[in-house]
Amino acid sequence: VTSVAVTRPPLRNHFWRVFFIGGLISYRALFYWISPWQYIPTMLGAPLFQILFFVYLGRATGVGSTSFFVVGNSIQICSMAGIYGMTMAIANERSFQTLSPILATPSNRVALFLGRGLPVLITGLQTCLFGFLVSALILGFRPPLERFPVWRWRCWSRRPPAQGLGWRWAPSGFESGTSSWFPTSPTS
Amino acid sequence: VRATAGGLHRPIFRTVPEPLTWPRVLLTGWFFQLKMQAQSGFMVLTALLQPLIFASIAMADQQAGNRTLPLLYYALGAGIMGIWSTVVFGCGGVISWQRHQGMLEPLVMAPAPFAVVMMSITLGTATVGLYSMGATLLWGWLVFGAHLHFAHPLLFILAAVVTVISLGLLGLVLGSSFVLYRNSNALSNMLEYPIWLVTGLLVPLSLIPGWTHPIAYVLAPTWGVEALRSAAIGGQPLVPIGWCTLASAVYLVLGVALVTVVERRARRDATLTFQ
Repeated sequence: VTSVAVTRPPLRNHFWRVFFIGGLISYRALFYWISPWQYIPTMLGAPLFQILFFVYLGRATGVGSTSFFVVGNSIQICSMAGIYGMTMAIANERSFQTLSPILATPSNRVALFLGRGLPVLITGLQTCLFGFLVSALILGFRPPLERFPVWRWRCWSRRPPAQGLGWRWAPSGFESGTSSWFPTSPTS
Repeated sequence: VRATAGGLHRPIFRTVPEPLTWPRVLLTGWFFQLKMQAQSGFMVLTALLQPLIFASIAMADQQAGNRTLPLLYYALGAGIMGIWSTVVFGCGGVISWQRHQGMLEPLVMAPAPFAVVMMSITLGTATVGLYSMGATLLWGWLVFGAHLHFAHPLLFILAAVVTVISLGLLGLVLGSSFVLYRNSNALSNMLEYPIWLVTGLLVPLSLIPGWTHPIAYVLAPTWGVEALRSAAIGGQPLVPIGWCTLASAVYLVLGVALVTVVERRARRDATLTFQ
């Protein structure tokens, strides 16, 4: 009997490989809206109209300023992307029956699931910045530039709780068949 | 169908001209769809809870703001928002959903015209949206103290029925046109807010840019909400009810034509089972 020496990569490299490459592959496979035909209407079109809707509602009721609604909605759509993305990442793993094999692997769980969150985090930030940009172009939203780093920090800091909600809601939403509804309305 | 017995031709079934059976098909399909959708968790959440959230935001804004529109104005608008959501999500993907359930082929093969069957489905789905109307009115009354006094109660009921029918028929148009677009679910996601905004459900049309008004005038929710508000708050509800009826007739013709085209194309190319 010949023994075969199994060479394993160093633990730290393995962690980052699962984190980055695993996360990227999962995002490409499971994020339905990655196609431009899905991404543009869902991640850019819908948030844009949401901002417009609430800004005009604020004007109609005489509450708040344009900036109030633009900032609030941009942060909200940022969290929505996080919740949706994470819900999809886990619920679709279950749907395609790949969740059990993944959980059966010896990979680090933290790397596995945080890696799935990273591309979604970037997507949410993009959506948020898009909201600010079109608001500046269409609604005359003029943020003071010196506060931009603070906003950027707020966008980033809002992401982990949103993704946490996505992680939490993914299994329950999928089981009840309402995973596509849960992420949006409660965050409104 | 006739059978020969003792040299006499006796009818086994009473045969009536086919078009006379269409109302029965429509009614049965509508009721069946209503029961099915009323048990769908997604639909109930969309029609019941989501409008309450938007109604709360709008009515809280109204109470905090300095405008004088009554709370009933926002409660009715939020109710129509719920009906529109059920129409967009329920009717937009109706053909794809029937295909997914394996029901598309039996429905196309049935003796009843496919357009009539489709119409019963979309009307049933739009009717589920009435949940949202009742929910937002009740919510406004209980939580925000909205004054539920209807200026023309009978016309309000008529306006609600006409609005649901027109939205159901608009759903027929959406359902048959979305099937041509592979990513129709993305389009459904995007169609909620712009229609809510453009048709003046919560924001008066006078505050929205004028170039959007022609779009609003061809959409049934504009006239539906106007009819309901006129009947509830006071005004001339018959005019918007008339426009809503006219819009329904146009949607009916357009919807039937589109369904016929889609069905014929699917039969010709043998793509009924495939998207």
